[in-house]
Amino acid sequence: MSLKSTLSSFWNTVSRPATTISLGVISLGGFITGIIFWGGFNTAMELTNTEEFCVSCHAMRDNVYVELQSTVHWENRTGVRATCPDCHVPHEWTNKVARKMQASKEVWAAVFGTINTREKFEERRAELAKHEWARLEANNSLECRNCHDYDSMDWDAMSAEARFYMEPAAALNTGCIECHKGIAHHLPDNVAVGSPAMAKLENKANSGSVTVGEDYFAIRDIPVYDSAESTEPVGNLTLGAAVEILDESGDRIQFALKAWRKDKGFGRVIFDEFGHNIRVAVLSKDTAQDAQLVEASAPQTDEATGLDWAPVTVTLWSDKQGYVDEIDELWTVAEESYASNCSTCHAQPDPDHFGTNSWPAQFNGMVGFTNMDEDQANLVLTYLQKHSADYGGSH
Amino acid sequence: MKEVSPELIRFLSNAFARELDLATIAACYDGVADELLHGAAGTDQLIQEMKTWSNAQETQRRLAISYGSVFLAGGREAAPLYASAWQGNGTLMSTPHYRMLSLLKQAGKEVANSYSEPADHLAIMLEYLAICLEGHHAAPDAAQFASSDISPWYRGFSKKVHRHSESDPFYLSLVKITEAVVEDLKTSIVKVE
Amino acid sequence: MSTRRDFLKGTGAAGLSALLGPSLLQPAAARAEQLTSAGVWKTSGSHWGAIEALVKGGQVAEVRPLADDPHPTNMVNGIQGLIYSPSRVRYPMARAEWLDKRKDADRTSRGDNRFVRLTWDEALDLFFEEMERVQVSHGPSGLYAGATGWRQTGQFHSCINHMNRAVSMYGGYVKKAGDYSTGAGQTILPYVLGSTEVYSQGTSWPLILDNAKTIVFWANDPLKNLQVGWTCETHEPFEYFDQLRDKIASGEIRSISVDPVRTKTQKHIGAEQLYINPMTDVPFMLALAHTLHTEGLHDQEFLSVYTLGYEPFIAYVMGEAEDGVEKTPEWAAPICGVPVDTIKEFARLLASDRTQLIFGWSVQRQQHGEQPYWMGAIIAAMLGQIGLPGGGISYSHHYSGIGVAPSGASMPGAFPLNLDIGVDPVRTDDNFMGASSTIPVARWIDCLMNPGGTVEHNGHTVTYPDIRMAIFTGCNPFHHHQDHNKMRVAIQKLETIVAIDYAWTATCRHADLVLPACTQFERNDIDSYGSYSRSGVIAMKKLVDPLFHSKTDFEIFSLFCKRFDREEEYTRGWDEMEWVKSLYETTRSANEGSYEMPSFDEFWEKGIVRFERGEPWVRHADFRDDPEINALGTPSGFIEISSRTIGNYGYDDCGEHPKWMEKIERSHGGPGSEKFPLWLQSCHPDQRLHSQMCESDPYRATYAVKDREPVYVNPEDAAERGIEDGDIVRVFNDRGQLLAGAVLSEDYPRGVIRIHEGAWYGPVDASPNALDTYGDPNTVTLDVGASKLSQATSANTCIVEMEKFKGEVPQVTAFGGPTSI
Repeated sequence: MSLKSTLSSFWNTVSRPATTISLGVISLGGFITGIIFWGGFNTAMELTNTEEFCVSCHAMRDNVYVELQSTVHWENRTGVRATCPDCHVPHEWTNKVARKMQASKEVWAAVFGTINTREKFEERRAELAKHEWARLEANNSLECRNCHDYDSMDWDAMSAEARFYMEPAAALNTGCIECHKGIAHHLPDNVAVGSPAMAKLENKANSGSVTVGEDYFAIRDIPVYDSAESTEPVGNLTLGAAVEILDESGDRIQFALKAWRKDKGFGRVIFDEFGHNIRVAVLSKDTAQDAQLVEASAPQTDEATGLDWAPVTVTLWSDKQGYVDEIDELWTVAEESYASNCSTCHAQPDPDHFGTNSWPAQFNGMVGFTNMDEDQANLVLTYLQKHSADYGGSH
Repeated sequence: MKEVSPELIRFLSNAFARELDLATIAACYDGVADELLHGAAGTDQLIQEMKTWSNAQETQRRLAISYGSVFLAGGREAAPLYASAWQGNGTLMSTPHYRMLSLLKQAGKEVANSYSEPADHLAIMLEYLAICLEGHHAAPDAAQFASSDISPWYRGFSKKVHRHSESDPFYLSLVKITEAVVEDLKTSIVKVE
Repeated sequence: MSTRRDFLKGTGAAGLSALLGPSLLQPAAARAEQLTSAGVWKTSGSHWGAIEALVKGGQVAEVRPLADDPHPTNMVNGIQGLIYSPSRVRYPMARAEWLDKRKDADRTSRGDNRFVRLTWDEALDLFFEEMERVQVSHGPSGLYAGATGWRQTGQFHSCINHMNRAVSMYGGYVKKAGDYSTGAGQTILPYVLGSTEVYSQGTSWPLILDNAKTIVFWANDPLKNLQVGWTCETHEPFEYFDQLRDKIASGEIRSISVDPVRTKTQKHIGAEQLYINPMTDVPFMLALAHTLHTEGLHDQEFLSVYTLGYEPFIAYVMGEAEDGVEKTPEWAAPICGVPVDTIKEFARLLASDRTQLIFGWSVQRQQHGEQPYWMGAIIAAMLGQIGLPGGGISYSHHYSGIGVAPSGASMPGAFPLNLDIGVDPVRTDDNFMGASSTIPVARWIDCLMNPGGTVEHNGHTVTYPDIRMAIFTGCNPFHHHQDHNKMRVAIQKLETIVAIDYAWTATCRHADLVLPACTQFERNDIDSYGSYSRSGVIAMKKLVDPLFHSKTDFEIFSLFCKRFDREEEYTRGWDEMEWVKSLYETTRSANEGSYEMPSFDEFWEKGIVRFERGEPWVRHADFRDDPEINALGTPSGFIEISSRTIGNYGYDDCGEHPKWMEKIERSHGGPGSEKFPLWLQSCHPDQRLHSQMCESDPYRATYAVKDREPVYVNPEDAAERGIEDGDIVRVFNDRGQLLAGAVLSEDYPRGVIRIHEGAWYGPVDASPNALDTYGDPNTVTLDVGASKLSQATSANTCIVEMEKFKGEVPQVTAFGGPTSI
């Protein structure tokens, strides 16, 4: 008898009114139904945990599945292959269910066309990738460790280069995903995948857990809005900006940024301290000139240039993500980036070798020799400015 | 013309090959060299010079400084020991070096791994000359070799050594003796004709 | 009279066999005859361009430019002579006196070239012993290891990185700030234009050619300097100069070379010359500013939107400042030698249409070298065309292929100069005993002579450390530093000097310990093809094994680090090819998705991977577009015509705005010109890279005059002194004297002679003021800081006299080669 006919006759039985059925039948029937449902649920779930199911969607089959096939997780010397669920579905049951519920959103997306063309997929690639990275970072690369185990690594069998990186990682029990991004599918464009330390910081900032009344630092450029609801940004905070959270509403917070601006031009650039060319925000012309949003006090003259600087308080909204309560870790990341990127040709000068307003010129003259992208460059320059001679020295 | 002894040539080769070691210095002082040198042009001076050596270690040091400064260090006053440096455009390991590789090969020889120098090092050329004098099979005439492969450039080398402020009398004598030997061999060709 | 027993004490057995020595030969191995094989062509790169070399029988038989090179330089012909130069450092050597007595050795005899051979173990042991001794007794302030030179090319084997990393593994040391190329320029321009500018990418040539109506080459000879590059040079700009030549010929573009000398570039492209007295560019430019201002030709709007500080500057120009002197063309003409009408016409020309100003570097290598660069920026600001295609000002279009639109690809990194994260040096002592840990590079001799002394430098006070030991690698201070006689005295302060190089330079001659590095052609490496254009990545295949006893810097410093148990940390346990491959793969990852790069094996096989040229680009365009958002890196964010920051330093030789300040010595009516009427110009050579390749004897023979460095002189000046073409002349002043070979040329005006820097110093003996026999101009140049701001080199502030040499000419042979008999 087929499963279907069994099920349909079972259903016919249980759908009949209970008038002539005893309590025992009802409770036993309920129990059996529960088992079948449970089993069915599991079976259904197991069906969705196969590669076949995953690649039944074009978005998966034509994009990431193809990319997988050119990597070592598809074909290798020993013939050990990973299928989609091996990495993307937790083995442990409760986590599996949780993942499935989350993934239902992904299936929704496929069914309802959010990523049903290559272009749409590419647009969402970064977001999708970040979800998975965040998940794997949160569980310390649990799925990778289903197969790859530090304790089973034969250091002598590795190349000297591999060993150089892997032994310290093993000692720290670093999660695999911290370094090994892009091993099974193409990396999204413009995503810096270098620094595990930076990845950890981003994790923290992405949690979006901020408290009203507390002070925070932006670890990257954060778009800002003139209200809790508006969808068009009116500028951005830049990394290192220090704000006080005033209010929250939904996914947004309102912050106050106490800073300075120059009294020449439109005042769109907001600076960290009087006379210091360290940016903390860049605003549109309208916002910069809106006295409600940017409240200015009496200007003072900077003797070093003859320009007037006015203290301002900028009150705007942003999303909750991107803030951390302590900024020192960010400077550690920056310091390492500086040391490695800026010593290709000569020893890099100490941060306190130049003043805050001298660093931009030096940096501009040299950054072209490095391979740093704009974000990395901004991070390093801000680090240098904040640890310049004006601040008394190195981090 | 006096017969040039292969042992004399080998002694000259050894003296140019590297800084003198203590054993060689002792042998010199001991007069072992005297017989070897006896009668060859310019050797009396050398014999006398060696008798003035008062202390082996001090002599070794002094000669090492002279050897290093004159033959090994750079600068415009240097006198490198490679034939290439004194011919053509003066770059090392050029035609004379190739020629020596070929001559050595024909004699069933090559430069020892333990003495990794270009084949046109004067010491190697002198050892080859000794082989010729010893009449080894298939070696060309010693006189011909001296005439065509050493004589053309040796005068320039010799002059440079003489002008160098660090040239010890020992090395000046060696250079002179070698020059005399080479020229002797060269003239012997003319006489045969 | 000593006895035989005394002599033989401790010597051991004597005898005939000892006398004859061991054989230097061994039986020939039976193997294929290599000498007649056809050989194999291998790709490599160099400062002089991409090459391929025919290697036959273990020898480099021939070197030619790689087909990729659109405009090779004939300096490639000197490479073979460089590898096989008799000037090669062949063994580790130690100065005899120093070997005996070390820090107590007599130092007045340095330079006498009295050396003794060492084994590598002996040499490295001594090197470490000395470093340890100095660090223990004096701390990091006792060791100077920061100096840098042009090194050889190759990103893995970069000797600067190897030496710094290895020495840092042990402890700290004194570093340097600035360099000899652009010391004054790189210091002043951040205050004025917000970037060092001198090493920055410039407006792409196609945009200049399409938009500029007037192109001014100011003290600049790009066709001479573009032959070489910091990394493997591509020579891509040369095609643009040919296009420029055509546009000048057709009248589309007018080009003027502001220069006392008729340059190679001027002659090739057919530009006009505007003669100017040496070192008087500032009065000339002040008069130009005066004309622009009084005739209303300046762009007032540009000045008010984009600049600060015009008022104090123009007050000075108009005679309203303290000195009360109006900087009219009439005032300037007698100083700069440019007629009044010419000054006015030139100002009007600049303002008449789109004008591109292109400055060279030698004009800032003089006393007050900041001033002409500052004035250039101000003229450009007054013209109001900064940020427009074919307008504004450049200080770098003669350098390493700048002006070619970059591909945008990532380029290979290098062997890490710094310690890996988590690795600590053996000594963590960072106590510099109250002295500065960094000194201005051109003041190092001053530092040796004045330990504990102070100088002002760029807004702070530097206290000179008490340096006891110096390490130089791929760096030849006895080429690039001024006043060699003063140097020879100053270095007596140093207890130990270590030089690591492949050729026996004058620095090696004056060192205590010389270690033979091999040339770049004796090791495997990788380089960027086009320092700025990022045109590709090139493989540098090892052509032959290291000659004689030379080693790669990697090997030298691995063995060195072994002495204090840091070899593993230094090398990471990787070998040469693992490093090269790692640098390649990192580049490949960085370029993934944007710039296609093959697998390493395929790359190594092919020898080069090329990237497409990028989009043309305009310098300062984003600033012009939005000066607020795209602010410059100046203290205010705007162009600073007057700089309050500098004014606040209170320096008498570099003030709030540019000023004309008379030089300490100057030709053409300036101080000292009665006694020494000739200005000595010692710019970058045409046939070398600084001092590199001077030792290539066959190549040097193509330009040397009677074996000496040429001195170019005006025929009338020569005739007055009874000098004929080809004569050996003595060039001298109160600081020193040198011999050179006269070349008479109409390209040189009266009162100007040129000797290219990089000519190898060869004093006739170790006595003070000894005659240099080859012709190094830095025997007679002045050693003062350009100003308190930059403390940069002032090499081109130098006046001399010249005479036909009488007496017996001291021999200068090839530096180790055949005598001229």
